[in-house]
Amino acid sequence: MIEMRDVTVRLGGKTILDRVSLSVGDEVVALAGPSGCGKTTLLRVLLGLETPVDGEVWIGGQSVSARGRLLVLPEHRNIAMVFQDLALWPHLTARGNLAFGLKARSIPKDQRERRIAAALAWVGLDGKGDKRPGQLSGGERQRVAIARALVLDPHALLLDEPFASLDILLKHEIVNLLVRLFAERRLPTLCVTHDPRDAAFLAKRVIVLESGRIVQEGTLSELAEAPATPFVRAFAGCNRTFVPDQSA
Amino acid sequence: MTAAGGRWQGPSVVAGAAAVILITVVPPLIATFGQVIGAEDVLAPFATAQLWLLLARSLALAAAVTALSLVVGVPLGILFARAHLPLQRLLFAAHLSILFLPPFLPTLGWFHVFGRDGYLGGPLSAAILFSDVGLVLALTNALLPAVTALTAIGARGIDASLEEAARVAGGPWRAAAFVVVPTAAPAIALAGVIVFALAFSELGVPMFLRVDVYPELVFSRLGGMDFAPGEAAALALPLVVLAAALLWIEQRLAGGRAIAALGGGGLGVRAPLFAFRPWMLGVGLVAASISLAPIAALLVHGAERGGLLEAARWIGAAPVNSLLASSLAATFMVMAGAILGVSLARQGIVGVWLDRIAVLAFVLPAAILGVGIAYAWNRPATNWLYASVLVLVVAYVARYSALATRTVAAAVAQTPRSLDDAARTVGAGYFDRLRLQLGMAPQALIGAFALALVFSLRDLETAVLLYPPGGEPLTARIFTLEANGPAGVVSALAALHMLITFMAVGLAWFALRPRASA
Repeated sequence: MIEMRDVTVRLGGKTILDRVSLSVGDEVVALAGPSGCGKTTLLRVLLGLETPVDGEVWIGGQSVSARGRLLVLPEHRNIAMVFQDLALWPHLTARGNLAFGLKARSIPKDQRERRIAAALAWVGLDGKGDKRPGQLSGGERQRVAIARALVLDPHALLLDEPFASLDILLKHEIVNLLVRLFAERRLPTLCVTHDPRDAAFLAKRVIVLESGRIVQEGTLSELAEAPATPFVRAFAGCNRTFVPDQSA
Repeated sequence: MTAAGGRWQGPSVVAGAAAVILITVVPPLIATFGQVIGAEDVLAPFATAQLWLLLARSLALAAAVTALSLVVGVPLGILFARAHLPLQRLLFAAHLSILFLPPFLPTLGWFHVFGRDGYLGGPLSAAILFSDVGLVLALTNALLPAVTALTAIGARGIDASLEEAARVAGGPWRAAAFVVVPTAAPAIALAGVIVFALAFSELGVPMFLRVDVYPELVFSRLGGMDFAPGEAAALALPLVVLAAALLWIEQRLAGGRAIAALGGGGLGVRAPLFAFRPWMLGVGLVAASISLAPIAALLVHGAERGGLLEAARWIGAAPVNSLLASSLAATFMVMAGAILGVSLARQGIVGVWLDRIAVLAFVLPAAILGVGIAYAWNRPATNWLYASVLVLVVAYVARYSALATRTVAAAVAQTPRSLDDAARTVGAGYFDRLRLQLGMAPQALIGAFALALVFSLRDLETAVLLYPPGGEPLTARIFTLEANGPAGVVSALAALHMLITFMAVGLAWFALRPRASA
């Protein structure tokens, strides 16, 4: 469970998030909003990379930030994130990227190897563990980023525009992978997206953020029926044109 | 006609810039080889084991300085770049200050502290100072900030999300050790090469501390009782091999990747990786104090001995010579560096090759350049140049032009190539595009000028070999006075040198300071 209660973030004198409250259970929630509305800051608050000046953040039933104090450091929150630019460390192999967090948690080598092998197999990258990011295709890099997030067995998963740089075929491939992931592991997941179609088939619920505030929340059809702002109308009004592979 | 003219704009301007590098670097190298070929018994000096031992010892000392600088400088660079530290900028500036001085000045300062009659000195501290250990410590003290600075720039330039992903997965220490440092590795490798080259080239510190090193042997053959110019050229040959090896290492470990790493793409405001801890402030204070201590010792010594009042009688035209030669050289370096830096940033073949030549000249021990410049320009036809301050300009451009070119290249490499392509598609000529690219990185030109100026001002190794009668720069003046002038005056002149240098650095710092965007 991820929970934010009246979280306010100010950076450089500007209010980036203004009394934001949300909760994500064992489900996928899409987070939408215009550029610069505070979506990435919200994810950074959950990760512990930004400290709210007010409000509380709870993860897995534990308060991790409260009233301007960081109670749990980022590396101890056990939240995984797939970054928009993937943030794969270029000097490490795929296996090295996955091992990094496991080593930090002092997981014994045999267990580590087993978990890495299982994660790579799960994303369909058996035999590619010794390749560096630069030697992998775009889709393979995306899979490594997902495997790196999952190998830590996190309490929650954050996805920052996971399909932003993918062509339509790769997107199809990664969407199917994520659909399978959510079906197999009921992991609290917050997915930032600009695309209502992604929100439609990945998430049951959509939260819309504008100017640092949550302006509306509900299913995509609820948003379409009674949009609170012009952005929500534009976002929810778009039709689905992309259908995921149901067999995945 | 316009199109035809436009077609030749680029090549002719690049050729002009290339000429600046080629004219200053290539003739000395050719002239040195010419001397070797023309000399008799050229290999005779190499028959003695003593010479090879001296070379090995010099290499070992430079390697020790490099290793120590890397061991201390890399963590320090990470600390200054990625930790939340009170007075961060001030401490960092104080730590870097020593790098802008010729290393023998702070060594002179340490002498006033730890010499036999120093403020804290005694026989033991003097014995340590005047030994191999003292040489390594003095040079590490002087050159360490090069590692700190390049590591800090490299660490701040890495992609924020790479660091944050590591921070979330493994905490700040693992992120620093396994992601930030490896990602900044090209910049760190470049720092290592620079420190090694400068440490090996150094003449002032080993001569002052009475430690025998190989470049001093070459220097001694160019004047005084050991005058033997042909032998000097021959002795310089192993140094060419060394320079070629350093160039190879630089190109392999740093090269274009260092240019990208030093571009500072992430220099904007970013949350620190490490939260504040009191011991971090302690480390920062120690780093700043160790740089400032010898400078303070020189100032106090100069004031105590009445040197500040006496200095005017001894100073001559040295400050004017220094400033004239250094600013002329810096101007040439920036003009050539602006053009070649853009070419290098875009991996243009001319830019890449001229950068290699310029880096070769930078890593070439200064004694060879000095020897070569003397052979190349000390002729009746070019005596107008050799007998004037212009010979220092040639020497400075030859030795330090890589700094200006690399600074511009690092900044231009950060601007998307598509911006240049867009200008080309709307019919912009070479000059328009050059102006556009440099206009997007105006601070690079200021930075390049400041670096070129300060390194020329601090140069002793080439200047002491070449300065013409009446054209003595301040570093050479202080160095020669140190042997036979009043001690207080030497300290006072050193203080004046520091004042000139810090004013130049201060102006550059002011011009380059981050400004709030509108």
